[in-house]
Amino acid sequence: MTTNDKIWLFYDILETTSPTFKLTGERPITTVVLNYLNEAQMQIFNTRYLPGDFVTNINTIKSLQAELGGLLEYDDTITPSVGTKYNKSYSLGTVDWISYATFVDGSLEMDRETLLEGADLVTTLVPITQRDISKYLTNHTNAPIILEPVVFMDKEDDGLFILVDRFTTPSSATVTWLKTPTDLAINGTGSELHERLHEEMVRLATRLFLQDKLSVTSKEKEQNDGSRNAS
Amino acid sequence: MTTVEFKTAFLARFYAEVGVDALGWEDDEISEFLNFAQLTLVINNARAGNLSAISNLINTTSLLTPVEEDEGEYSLDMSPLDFFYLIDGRAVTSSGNYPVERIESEHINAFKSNPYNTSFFRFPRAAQNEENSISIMISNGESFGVGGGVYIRYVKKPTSIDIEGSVTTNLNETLHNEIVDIAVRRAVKVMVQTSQSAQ
Repeated sequence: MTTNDKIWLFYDILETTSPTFKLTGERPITTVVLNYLNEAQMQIFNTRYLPGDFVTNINTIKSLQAELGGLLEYDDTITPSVGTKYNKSYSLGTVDWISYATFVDGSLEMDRETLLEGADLVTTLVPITQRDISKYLTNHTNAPIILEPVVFMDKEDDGLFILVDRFTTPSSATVTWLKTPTDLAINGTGSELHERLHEEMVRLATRLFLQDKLSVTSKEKEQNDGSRNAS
Repeated sequence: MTTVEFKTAFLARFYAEVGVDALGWEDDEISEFLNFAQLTLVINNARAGNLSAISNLINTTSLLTPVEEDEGEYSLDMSPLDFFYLIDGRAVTSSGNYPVERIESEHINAFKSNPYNTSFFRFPRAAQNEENSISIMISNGESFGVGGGVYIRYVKKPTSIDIEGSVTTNLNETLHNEIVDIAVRRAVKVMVQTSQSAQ
């Protein structure tokens, strides 16, 4: 469904709700319709793919991977740099959290000095939530053996970080990101969400519009009633 | 009713209403009240969609070519016709034939194209303006093109009642009593307002 098709459907649903939206100035202009469609798109995106914490989101996204198509972006050009916030942490670079919603998957190429030692070993990154970081930190009370390095998001520092043990030196990383869908625009190509979510998106946009419209109308009515009673 | 019958009915009901003789209403004043009444009646019936009562006043134009005013907005000059009230119409555009839906002119902006609004609507809309003209809005990407245009269905003005000239209305006989009733109510209102302003 193209963006214009969505706008047509939005108006069709609205006009079915009440002829007021068909023949009067209560009919919203297309800029307003687009705002509601974009809001609905983000609500569906967040509810469907980002329902919980970092790890839950990744599991959800992986189970729905088939419908994510172009929203998944693969980057194999990352060189980890030594992080300063935590001991034995590496940064996978600054992330633009407006364009990218979350890390989905990744692997790390590394050298290990001992315990499964070797050069250019490739292993999958294991996602953890920030509350579990302490278990993987190397300090004077903890010296973990981390055969599969862990990854976590730190939105405060706009970054994605990995934690390794004292025997590991990362050399390069590949990461799959989930992109945030781009806003819809008139005559645009349409939503990046899966086609079967498009009608749901329009119906949600219509509900959001009517919810705002009706609540404003009832508030206005209450105010009018109030001012009448006062006079 | 003939003009004589209209006048007689008006004077009788006016007397019944206010209990005094007809304050010396002249024929042209009574005609004025009756014409006001029949126009009110016509427009009320048209607005309510009760077109059968005024069916003899309903007319459909031949294919008219609207003049483009702005992107997606056209106008039609209806003054050569005996135009009184727009009902609806049918448009022949580049992509087919569509019914034209009437909107009130105060709502026209919701259908006009501008940088914030791209006109998306299934059927063309038409609004009656004050100066006997009609604005027509068609959806984004549509045009009238060669051979295109609109058929407008409208209500004609009823024949003006002229008691002195013995010209009666062409409205349906069933509406005549209602014309007199509205005319009398109007006359009573005028009388009350006049006496209030004289005090």
